[in-house]
Amino acid sequence: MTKNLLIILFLTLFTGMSTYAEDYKASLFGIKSNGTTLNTTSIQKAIDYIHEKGGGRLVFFVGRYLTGNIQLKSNVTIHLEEGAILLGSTNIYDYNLAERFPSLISATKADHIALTGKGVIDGQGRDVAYQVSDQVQKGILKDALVNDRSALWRPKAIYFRECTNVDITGIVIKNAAEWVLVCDQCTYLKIDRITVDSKAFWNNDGIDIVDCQHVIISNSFIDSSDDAICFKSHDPTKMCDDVEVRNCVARSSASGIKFGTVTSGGYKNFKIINNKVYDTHRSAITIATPDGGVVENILVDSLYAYNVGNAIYLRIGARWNKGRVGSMSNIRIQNMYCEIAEGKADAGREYEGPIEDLPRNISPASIVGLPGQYISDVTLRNIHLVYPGNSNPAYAFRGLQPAELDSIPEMPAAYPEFSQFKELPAWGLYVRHAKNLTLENITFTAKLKEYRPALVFDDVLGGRLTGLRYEEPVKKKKQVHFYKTKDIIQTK
Amino acid sequence: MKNTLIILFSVIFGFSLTAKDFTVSDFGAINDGFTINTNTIQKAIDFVHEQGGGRLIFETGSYVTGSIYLKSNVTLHLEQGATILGSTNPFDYIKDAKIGWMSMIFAVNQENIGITGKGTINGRGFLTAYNMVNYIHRGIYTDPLKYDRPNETNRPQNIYFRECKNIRIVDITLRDPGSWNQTYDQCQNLYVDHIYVDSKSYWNNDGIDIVDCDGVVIKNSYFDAADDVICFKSHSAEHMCQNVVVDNCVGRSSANGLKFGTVSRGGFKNFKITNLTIFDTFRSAITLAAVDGGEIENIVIDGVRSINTGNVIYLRLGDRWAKGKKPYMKNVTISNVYAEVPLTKPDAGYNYEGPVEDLPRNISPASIVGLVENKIQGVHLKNIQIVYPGEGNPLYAKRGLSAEELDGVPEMRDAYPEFSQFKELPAWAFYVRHAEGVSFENVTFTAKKKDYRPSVVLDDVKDVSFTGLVVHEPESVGKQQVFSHKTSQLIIK
Repeated sequence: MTKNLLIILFLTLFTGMSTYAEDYKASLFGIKSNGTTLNTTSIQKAIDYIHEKGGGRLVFFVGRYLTGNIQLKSNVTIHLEEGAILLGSTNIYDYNLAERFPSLISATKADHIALTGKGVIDGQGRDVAYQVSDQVQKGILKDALVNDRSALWRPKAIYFRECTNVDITGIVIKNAAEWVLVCDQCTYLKIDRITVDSKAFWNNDGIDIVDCQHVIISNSFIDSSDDAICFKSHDPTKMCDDVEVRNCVARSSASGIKFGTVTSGGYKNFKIINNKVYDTHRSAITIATPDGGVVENILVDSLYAYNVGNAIYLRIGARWNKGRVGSMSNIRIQNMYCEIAEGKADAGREYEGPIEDLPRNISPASIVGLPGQYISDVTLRNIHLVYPGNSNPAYAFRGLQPAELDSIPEMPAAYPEFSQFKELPAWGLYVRHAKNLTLENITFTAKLKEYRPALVFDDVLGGRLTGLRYEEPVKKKKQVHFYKTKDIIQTK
Repeated sequence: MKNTLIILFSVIFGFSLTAKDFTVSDFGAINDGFTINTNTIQKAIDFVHEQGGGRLIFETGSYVTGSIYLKSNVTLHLEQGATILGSTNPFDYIKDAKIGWMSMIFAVNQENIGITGKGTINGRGFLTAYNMVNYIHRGIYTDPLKYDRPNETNRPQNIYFRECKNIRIVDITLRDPGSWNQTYDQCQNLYVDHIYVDSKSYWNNDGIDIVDCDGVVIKNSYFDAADDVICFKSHSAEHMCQNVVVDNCVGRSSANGLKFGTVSRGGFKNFKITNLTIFDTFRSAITLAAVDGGEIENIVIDGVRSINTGNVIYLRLGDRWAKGKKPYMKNVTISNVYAEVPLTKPDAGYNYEGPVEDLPRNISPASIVGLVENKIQGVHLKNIQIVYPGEGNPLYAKRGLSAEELDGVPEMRDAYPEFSQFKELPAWAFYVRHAEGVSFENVTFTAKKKDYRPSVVLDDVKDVSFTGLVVHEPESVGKQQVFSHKTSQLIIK
């Protein structure tokens, strides 16, 4: 009896210990913490060594560790203790420029990789971007350099491709020269308690999840000059599937939570729960499928948004779809509170979103499909949208006459943005080319008087409207206008 | 007139093709002696190469780098005051898969390349090697670590060019590699002129290694090396070093001055070596060795000044790694040599002194040693003066002249070929064994003090002649200075 117990005890100890990840200090590999020694080859050697030894954590203690591109390998964790900063080299040639997506930390087809700890990954991206511009202007790097921004070359902070069991926890990621954190075709991805400070340069997305499955993003803060929490689909044979975003706070000079823009495959089975978006130039949430992707079964619950340019934008387009037909169905957005900004929501930020698409008054939340391509089975429930109101028909005007409504451009091939149609005829919600729409317990508030009605439906086939309330400083006004719309059931 | 214009234009055009200059700082290289510029310099090389070639200029300052690959039609030009510093981090170096060694500047299968200018390439190899030892001790890098030295392939050389054509190495200073300094392996048309090599920062620091190259000029250069100075090797049995000119060079070594070998599989043919000065050198001023099946033929060495060197001439055939291939050495002419051999260690006090070894022995003679079945053929020595210390003491080490004692000198067919390998030899000036067709013409041997041995011993030599042999040795009136054993056709005029 005791003998068996002992055997079990030993076995447990032994197997437990051997699977427990071993720690390796960065200093063991001669990695310097002075902020000036370029450690690329030493860190790479450390990763390779730990990988070959079966895995473990490469631990960085307090200090500044300068490096170019490093490639993470299976079973290796980079652990940054509080005060440890992994600094991206400001020399563009220290990055993996031969790759499609250069980055500071890359991984391809790795399993069980992680970035953990309370330390910082700082891409020093503005200096890198400036050096890229310098090299392009000298003719050494080839680039179109649109608006003095290079299209190629600028490295991301993190690019993981076709990896499994990825864990990013606790760290601060900031100042990439481009997108910050990108996971592309990864499965079993966990992002928890990270801080993303991504406004060092143009195109600084916060988190980009591209064609990934089984993803949880939780308890994180994202402040980015481009889209904050962004789902993409680059590959028509792949899609983002089984994704949860929970307890995150996002700020953006583009959209807070964004599906797209590139949407080749699509998105399904999402739960976006209890998140907050503020000071954001464009939409609190944008779900777009302009490139033939399929979007289905998306739940957005408890989204709190204030000082944002737009509340909700759902859009089917036909941009790069090459014959494939994009679709969007079964979208539920519930328990949402949103205050729309009167002025520019991200004013004063570095790399502010562009002032564009004027003249228009404040845009409504919008659900816009294409003729014959209906956005279907959208439910909006328990929502309060607060608008500044005060639209001025002398500045921009869109009336309710059939000719006026029909003249709203379809713009199938355009970049999908809530403001793309310029003036829309509603102040609260504009729906076009949708079917089976459910609106339940929604309050639309305009702080000042509007010339437009709150709701305009155009080509909506089937809907159930319950408990809609309109708060506007006017006595009596028809707040709902239907056009080419049928089978709408309205109840109090 | 029209034709003249066309010629003029083509001259201008041609000029712009050959002399396009690019400055490395334009690519963002930082000359602070600290920033690691590996990727920037590589980008610059690639860019110049893609633009059709030109010079990549390094202006004054110190540029740190790890491994870079030079490409066709690119010349690295180091202006005076510009230094390329090797990174001291061994992980910044590549061990090239084809070459099997680490190096700072590689070139593989390129042509029309060069390194020029009055600047410096400083490998800082001792620091890199020490760092490597550190990593090996920690178990991070795997290495046999013999005598606490990492294997020579796991320490960076300054330059390793392989299978390149049309190479110019001009004016530069090369310092402190972690291993050999500069290697040109299976290259064609190598021109080395006016270089200064200070190569004694770590073990195996050769001066220059020419491996299986065809068409080599080395001239007007100075070498100070911990290991062999001007070293010709043959790593491949299918290749050899041939058509080589070495002129007006000065060397100092804790091994050999001019060396053929040690690895000598293919061989060495058609060499003309003139005006060579070797000083403070631990081993031989000239060692020609073929121990791995190599062929040595048509070697002319004219004008040698060898001051304070442990040995002057050592010619050796051996049978080490030949795998059945028969080595030979024939038609070697050495003329106009003045040499002084000291009693003390010639390289005492230098960094990485040669090892004290092979004792007890008295001062070794110059030696020509073939194999029993494979004799060295046709060695012509003309106008030779060698001054020895003498003082050979038979109570310290003795090799007598009886048949038994002479036959007792070991053959050491498969040993590393070194002038001192046989320990005590029976002559004080020249020992010849297993050779045929050897001529000494106008040769003077001087021993400063009395030696117990004769000046020359010939063993198993056929067709040997002395014309104008002069031997100076105190207290030796009537001593037989030339002793022969198993020797035929000996002529002394």
